[in-house]
Amino acid sequence: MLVNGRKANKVAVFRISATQYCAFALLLSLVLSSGAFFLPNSALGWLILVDALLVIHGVYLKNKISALLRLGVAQLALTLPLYYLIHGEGQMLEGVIVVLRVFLALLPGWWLSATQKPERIGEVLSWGLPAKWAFVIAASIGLLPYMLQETKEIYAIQCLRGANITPKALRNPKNWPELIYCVVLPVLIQLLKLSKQMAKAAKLRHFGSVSKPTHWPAKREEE
Amino acid sequence: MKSPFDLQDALFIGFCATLLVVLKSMLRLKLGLSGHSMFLMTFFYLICYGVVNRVGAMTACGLLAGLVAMMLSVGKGGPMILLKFGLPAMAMDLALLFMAGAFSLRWQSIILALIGCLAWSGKGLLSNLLVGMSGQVALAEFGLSLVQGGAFAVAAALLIPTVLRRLHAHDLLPKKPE
Amino acid sequence: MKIIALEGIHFGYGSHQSEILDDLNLVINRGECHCINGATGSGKSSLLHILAGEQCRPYEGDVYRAPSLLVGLVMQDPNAQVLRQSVGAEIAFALENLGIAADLMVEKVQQSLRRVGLYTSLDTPVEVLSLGQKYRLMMAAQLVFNPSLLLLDEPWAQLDDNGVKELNGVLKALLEDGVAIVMVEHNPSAFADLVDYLWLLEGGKLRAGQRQQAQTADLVNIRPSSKPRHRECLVNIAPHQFRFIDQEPLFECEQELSLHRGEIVALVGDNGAGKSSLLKTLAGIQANITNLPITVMAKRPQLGIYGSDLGLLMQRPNRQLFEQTVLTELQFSLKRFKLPLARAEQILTELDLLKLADSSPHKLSYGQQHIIALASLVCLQPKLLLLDDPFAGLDKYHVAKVVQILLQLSAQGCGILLTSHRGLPFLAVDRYWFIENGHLGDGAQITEQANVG
Repeated sequence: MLVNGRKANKVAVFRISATQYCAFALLLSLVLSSGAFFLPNSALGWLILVDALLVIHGVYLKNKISALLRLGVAQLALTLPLYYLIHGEGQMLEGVIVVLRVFLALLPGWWLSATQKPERIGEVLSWGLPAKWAFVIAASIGLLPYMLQETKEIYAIQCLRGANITPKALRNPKNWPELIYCVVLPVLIQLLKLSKQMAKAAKLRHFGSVSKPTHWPAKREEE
Repeated sequence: MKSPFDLQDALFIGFCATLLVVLKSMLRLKLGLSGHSMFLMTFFYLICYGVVNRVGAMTACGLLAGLVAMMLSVGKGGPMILLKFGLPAMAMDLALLFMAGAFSLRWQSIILALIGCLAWSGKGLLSNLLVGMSGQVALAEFGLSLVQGGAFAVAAALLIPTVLRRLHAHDLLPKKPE
Repeated sequence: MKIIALEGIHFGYGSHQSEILDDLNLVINRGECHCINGATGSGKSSLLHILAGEQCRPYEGDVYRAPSLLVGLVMQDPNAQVLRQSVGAEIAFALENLGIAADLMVEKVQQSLRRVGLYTSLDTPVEVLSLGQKYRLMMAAQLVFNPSLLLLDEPWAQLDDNGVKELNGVLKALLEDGVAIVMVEHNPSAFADLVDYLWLLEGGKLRAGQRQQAQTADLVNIRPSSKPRHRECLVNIAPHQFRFIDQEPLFECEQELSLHRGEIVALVGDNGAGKSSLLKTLAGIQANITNLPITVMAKRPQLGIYGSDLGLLMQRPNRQLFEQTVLTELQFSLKRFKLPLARAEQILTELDLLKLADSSPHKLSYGQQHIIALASLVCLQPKLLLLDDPFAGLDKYHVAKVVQILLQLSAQGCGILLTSHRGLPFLAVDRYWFIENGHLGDGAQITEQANVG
């Protein structure tokens, strides 16, 4: 019994440290993101250096950065012409720096989601969250595959019933309301019914009967 | 987040928030045409308010959407996304405090949509000014996103009364939408 | 020992409608099994929820509960009750809410898993379980807090025959442990060995029910083959392996199968055998499927190429309803396919449902919604109709109505393929196709036996 208890303790310590690492990463990405806004131009070099390390870390873990790069290019394509039109050629460099800062503000977020498991982030975020909302978030994410499947099936049924909502028909904005009424509306109806049923199922299993619910030990030693 | 909502409402808000995040990531239209996210945000926030019928429902939905987006690592991820979803919702709820019942459902939806869009573009303006963008360029981008986002937001708002009325006709809402 | 008693219960929706429960009495003792039968809408579910103490609308009458009574309720659709992702966490949910210490949980959870006969790891994701296993998981999630009364809402319709057999065993052991069971069930004969009291809920009161002869599970009903086979072929399935891209085969089809105009074919197999996927493939809406040698109306199935010639009714057809009245719901497809709108009223008249024309489809009973969704396909007069489990959850009255519609369609030359997880003794079909042990084939042998018999 004693040995068991000690082992359990060790596991707990290990778990907290993994979560702590995630919390640290969250904090770091927040700090670096705000750095992109508030640091003077002269310090930007250092920020780029630190962020470059993050990129190397993320890419090393086999994550794609192309989506973020595309976003940066799109931002550039929007801002530079505006700078050119309003301020002329002289201040183009300033425009580039501005876009660079926006890019640097987004980059730590990419690193965070690239290197941390979603459930770990969820764990950190739910530290301050009341039990009810933590449950709501977990249940919603857990039901996501079901909701998407329902949506796809309802879409397919209505297509077969002749609704003008095929990808081709949807190129015409005139058909968009049809999508709302015969797909989104039934999906909302399903969600309403589902939330009612799940709330009932949860209450029948004593949800909310004590103010401090305990937690199922997700990580256990093999029995 | 204190919760005046019962579990059923909270779950519905959670489902809406999750669906909003996922649809947004799936429907990411062509780059550059920003503002389409305002359509989804406005639609789901107003539906939440219409169904739950409580001030605070939109904020709850917005904050949940931000949290869910972070957990699912949707889009660019990171803590900024919380503001992106949460700010318009909070602005809309705040506005609602001052105008509840003053307008018809249709106009209330449109005004809330525009306020949400203003908060959304305003957040962009502020961050652009913070990174040192020249005021004129920042204002130009602000105007652009306001027009694009506003068009999408109003389109969503116009659908709300019909959708709510239909939900009510099916006996699925506790209170009749005005 | 009396654990719960209802005395003079009155209950109704709204003030102007007649009462659903009218002076109802029921006493339940430890270790008893009660089964309540009754038509759809007779108030069976309301009764269960009053027993569970979860009825949100007010009712009149006295309810006696033993001081330490804990009640577990397993609702109809297991998928809408799963609250967590892993088996262990799902069962532990009630323990968390009761504030049981974490280190006591594992043993309790494993104990209740064993009680329902599930031998799987606690970390198994819930989504890999079959429907029957999910149902037992839901039972385990109730049993973990040791309820003395367990309520079950229509288990038979959800489960295939294997699932019913497993459930019978589990329930027997629970009764021996002294747990009382109340189930609401259209088909009490499936649990005949367990039931101590059989009730019929009618006119708001409980009356002693009549025991019926147990139906044999594989009863089939083949109509004499009068149809010439040279009619137009609607569906042709060449031998193939049915599998999703990058996955193991779901089943293998070794012989050529076909469906002609005017024929009714029933596709029978256990839950999860691949019936729905095959149906969706035929309609051209199944994603992630390999290229299969299947033709429907001489074309490779694809979404949107058949127009009004093909109708598909999926499970829980009330999902597709969205219009404000029944009539507009029926007219929706007619309008889109530019067919005469008068057909909508015509079919409502034929089905004796014209009085519902102006009601909201979502205010109807489950059975009525089912019929309306089916009628919206029937009025298109399709050449081929695909129906996924069209009798699920229907009471006798609505089953008869669906049978009437199908026979009429078939007489008009429509080919019908319908799925079920058991034989359909009440519908005469031309052929059975079976999916058994990973093989799809024509049930010719069984057909012959039935004809001889």
